[in-house]
Amino acid sequence: MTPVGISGMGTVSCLGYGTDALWNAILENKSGITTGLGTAPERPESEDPFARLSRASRFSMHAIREAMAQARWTRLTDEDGLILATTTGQISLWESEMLAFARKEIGENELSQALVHQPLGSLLETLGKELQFKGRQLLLTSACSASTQAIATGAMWIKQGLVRRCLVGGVEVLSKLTTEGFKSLQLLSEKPSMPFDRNRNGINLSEAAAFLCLEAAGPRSLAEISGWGFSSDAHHVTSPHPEGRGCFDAMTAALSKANLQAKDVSWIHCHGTGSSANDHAEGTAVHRLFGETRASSTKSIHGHALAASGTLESVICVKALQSGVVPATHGLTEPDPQIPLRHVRSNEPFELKHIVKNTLGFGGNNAALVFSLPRGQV
Amino acid sequence: MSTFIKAAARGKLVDPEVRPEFRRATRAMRICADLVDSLLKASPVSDRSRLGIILGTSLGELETTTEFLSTMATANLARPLLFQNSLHNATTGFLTLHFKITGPSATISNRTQSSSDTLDLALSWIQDGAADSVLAITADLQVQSLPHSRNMGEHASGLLLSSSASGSIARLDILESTKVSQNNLGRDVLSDLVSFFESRSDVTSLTLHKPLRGHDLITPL
Repeated sequence: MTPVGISGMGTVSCLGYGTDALWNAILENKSGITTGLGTAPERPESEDPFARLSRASRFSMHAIREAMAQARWTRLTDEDGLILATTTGQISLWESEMLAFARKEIGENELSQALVHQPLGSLLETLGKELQFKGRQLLLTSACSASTQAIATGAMWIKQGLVRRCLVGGVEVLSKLTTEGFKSLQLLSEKPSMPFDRNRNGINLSEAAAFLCLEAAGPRSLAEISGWGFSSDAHHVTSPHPEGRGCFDAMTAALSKANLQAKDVSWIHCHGTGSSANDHAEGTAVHRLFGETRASSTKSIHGHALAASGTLESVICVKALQSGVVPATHGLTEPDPQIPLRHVRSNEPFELKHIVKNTLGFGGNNAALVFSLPRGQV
Repeated sequence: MSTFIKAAARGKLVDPEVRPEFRRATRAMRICADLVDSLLKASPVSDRSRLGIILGTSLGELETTTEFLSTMATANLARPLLFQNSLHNATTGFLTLHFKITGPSATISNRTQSSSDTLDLALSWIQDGAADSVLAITADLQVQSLPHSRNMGEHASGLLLSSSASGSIARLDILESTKVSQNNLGRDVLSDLVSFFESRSDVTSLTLHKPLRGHDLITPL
């Protein structure tokens, strides 16, 4: 069966607009985190064709436009698919009204008008209208693994003949809900995160939209999606299994789907949030499966974009495959001795063939992908 | 490829006074737990690493999100328990934890399409081999503080689907077709299928005609 390839990518992140802005920041070790958060820059209203849309829709449309241009897709047809991942959707359109309503500053009518945008599906609806798309659509909200699941599901749909091509992506904007919520769990860092460092100080929440164009692999493919795996920890609502049991299972399933062995993988792009629980669980699982294979996290550069992290970091994986550079864990100075990984301490030229991308989410939700160089290039 | 329906059920809201283990669970978690309990009692699955679960919901844990934001606005207090239960995926996470499900799990939220999208993804997972059996469930509850949800019904319903015919109540085939049937399904496909099995015990094979969107069709063979 024809493998599924990635033919276009687009991003908006705290590093700016476009995948080059993201990748150049990785190469230059330039973090987009300020005061602990990664806020995506706004474009002047007069220069933004999507200025009328919500923050999440706006960022999504910019990323979609970039991805489709690279893939040379002029439009989506009814035979195509659209899969979106988010945890908070268009929260920027209703959160402040909800807070004002609670403080009795506005009434039910005003709140009702804002809440039209509350269902996550309203974001998918908005994007569908912008793209004039009426084909197969799906919105996944499986916490931080959601957009990794979206990529896998898009590949699955194409392989199963359900769609011809699939636009998959994730989007997340900063909100009181997530910033105050993660603060209440004492997980936020005010400085850029330090994944896998013994002096780690927590995570950085960030905004991002990242979209990929998937279709049958061909000469223009940037990379192939050769495997995917999902699992659940069944351990705790917010903390991963301490030995990374579910993470191990998801990576194992992804390797099996790709017909690869652990030794075939050149680099693991870790979820690597910089929280103690994540670092230890994931580090244990990665070491158990891959031993001395290179492993790193790039979250200190772009932050943790929650449901969008899977697609955002998959863009980095594809860029790494294309350029033959393994990105480092920026900010890692004293590796935690309890996490026995082969850390990448500075960006390293290396010929990559197969990469594993890992995500772990609240609710013990794990997803892993295997990206490979297009067959003609191996 | 055929998929088999092992069980169909509805959930009811469990009183935490009766089930103390649900004391910290949200209402959505409690009604879904009762539903999954019914499905797994009707058709036990011993290998939970090959069991997947997908929840389709429009409002999800909005009730808890609202409570978290209200507490923050009025008391300037961010309560961690409310936050961890406020994401839509918290329900699914709770269910995997409670029922020791270590296979794949996902949460879908796409307004009234959430139910049909859930069934659709469950079928894809089984065909892909990501899981041998999948709990495809849908649930939505009113949020009392929100005006637009007060007229909604409250429900949880679902199917246990499997790649194996053994012990199944019906075979489910999906056809890409526009054929019209007398048995129109409403928007909540999973709930309608549960109703179908509640009213008919003689059906052993079903065909759903795609697209599974709003005007789905069901044909007993």
